[in-house]
Amino acid sequence: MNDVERLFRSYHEPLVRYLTRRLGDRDWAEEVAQETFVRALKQESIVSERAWLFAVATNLVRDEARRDARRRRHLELLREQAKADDIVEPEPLTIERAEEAALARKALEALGERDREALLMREEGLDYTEIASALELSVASVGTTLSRARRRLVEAYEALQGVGAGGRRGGSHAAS
Amino acid sequence: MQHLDEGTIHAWLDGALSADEALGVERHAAECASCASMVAEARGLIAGASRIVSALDVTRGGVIPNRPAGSSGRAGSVSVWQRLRFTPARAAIAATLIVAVGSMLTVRNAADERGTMAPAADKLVMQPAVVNVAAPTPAAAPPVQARTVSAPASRPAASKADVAEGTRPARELAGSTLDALKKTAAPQEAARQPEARDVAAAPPVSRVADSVVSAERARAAMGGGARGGGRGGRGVNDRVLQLQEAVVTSAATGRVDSARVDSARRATANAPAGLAAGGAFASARRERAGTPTVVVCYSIASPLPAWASHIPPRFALDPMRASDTSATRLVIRRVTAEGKTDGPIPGSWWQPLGADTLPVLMTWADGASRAPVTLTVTLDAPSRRLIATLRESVRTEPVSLSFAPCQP
Repeated sequence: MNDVERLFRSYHEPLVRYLTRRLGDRDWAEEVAQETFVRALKQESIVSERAWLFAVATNLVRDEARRDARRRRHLELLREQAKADDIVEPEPLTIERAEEAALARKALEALGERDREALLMREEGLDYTEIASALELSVASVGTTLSRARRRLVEAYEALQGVGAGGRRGGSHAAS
Repeated sequence: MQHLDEGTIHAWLDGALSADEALGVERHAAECASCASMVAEARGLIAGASRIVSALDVTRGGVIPNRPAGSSGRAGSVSVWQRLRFTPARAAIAATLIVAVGSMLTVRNAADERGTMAPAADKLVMQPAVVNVAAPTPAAAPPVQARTVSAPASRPAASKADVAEGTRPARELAGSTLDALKKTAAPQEAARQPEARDVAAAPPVSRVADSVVSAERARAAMGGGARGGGRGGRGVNDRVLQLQEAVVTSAATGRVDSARVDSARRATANAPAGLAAGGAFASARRERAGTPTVVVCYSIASPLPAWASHIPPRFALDPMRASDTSATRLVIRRVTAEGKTDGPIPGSWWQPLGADTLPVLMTWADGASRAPVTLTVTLDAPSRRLIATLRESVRTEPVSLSFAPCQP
């Protein structure tokens, strides 16, 4: 097995999952992941492969977000068009699951960028050293970053749930 | 010991502390009620955050809408083929015309060569032509790429006519178009060459076939076959790879080095073993918005697993950017039964993984919820063979991939 295959086999799936969670769009995540692997192939040597890949992917997302907001809008348009064109639904999402996903997305977006990235990397199994390396933090501060991220995420999610439940209650009351 | 801070507790629960530190935290948490409470809360936060993050995984993919077959890939636009109402019948007529013109050129070429090659003909015609792209021998060409359907491992002994003609290898290398014509003109011979079935739509043009076969015989009698056999295998391979490299390089750099592509194409066209006749590899160069592009076509010979069944057996890589995505996605096109490239395949794209040559990575989404299937193609340098691997999540499957004939 050559380096390309080994890298791809080992890290493609977690990287795409991380990016999908980060971006909320699997196609986009696939694209960024591929670009990340292309860059990895051009690299002479990589000390910590996983940290390097996640760092590059994260930077690509940041760069892209900064300089290409237009494309994001385009993707939104495509998404709308996909709905309009009656595309094949990837999986039958129940309303509850869809709502839960939307709340989770909102809660995640309420976090600071670094907290969000650290949390998502940790969820992909990166250890504190790798997270510190990818995000250019000190290892000692990763625990604090993660604890803050987790607390805020849970609080934001619960707050959104309360709003949602209140909204639904209000709606049903109004309807009745 | 001081009370534990939240970061330390999370680091402990995440297993990020050293053994000594972990022991200290554990002891303190056992003795201190408030810290034990913080530890319990941290466990809850870790589990809760994890569950929330997992909820993100229902994110839908495939936001790019599927388009009808044959569309150009641009939203709202209509394929040129659709606009021209290019039906299979018309395609067959066009193919007939192309074959006829090609035959004329072949005959002329043979006539031109007759004057210069004749003296060596007797000598060369008796040399065993070594190269058989479809069924390589150890001493000859590697089993590359050339055929979508490989020839039987054990061939019937060459007929007397074959030996007398000294043309069989040359004809094999002359490609499937010629073979298809021969199929009409000489069914017995065609029956021994399964690759001819690839060109299913070959029209019954026996006269043209006769002339082509005659021309090819003449050419081989003058040494064309021997020339092709003597150095064609590896040389042809190299030319194909050269062209492939030019294509991929152009895709990688976002430009097309016309001179390099032309050079490769000239070399390919001059390949004595019949690349020019359309058998092993055909490429198409088109002017699109002033940018020449080259298409490389592939054929999958081995059966595909069910999870990759949406990948067509033949397809073409076009270094044109997919219109609705970023520069990293290039177009994969359909290849029709007639061997012509068609519109982009929705949900698929490719990109070169290296700086200037193979490997390439193709991605095939089928619009379903499952992860897209990827197909990596690398080149085994010593054997000059393509190595292709399908991959979906944790599943992998090697596939037999070869270059395939196709036309623009």
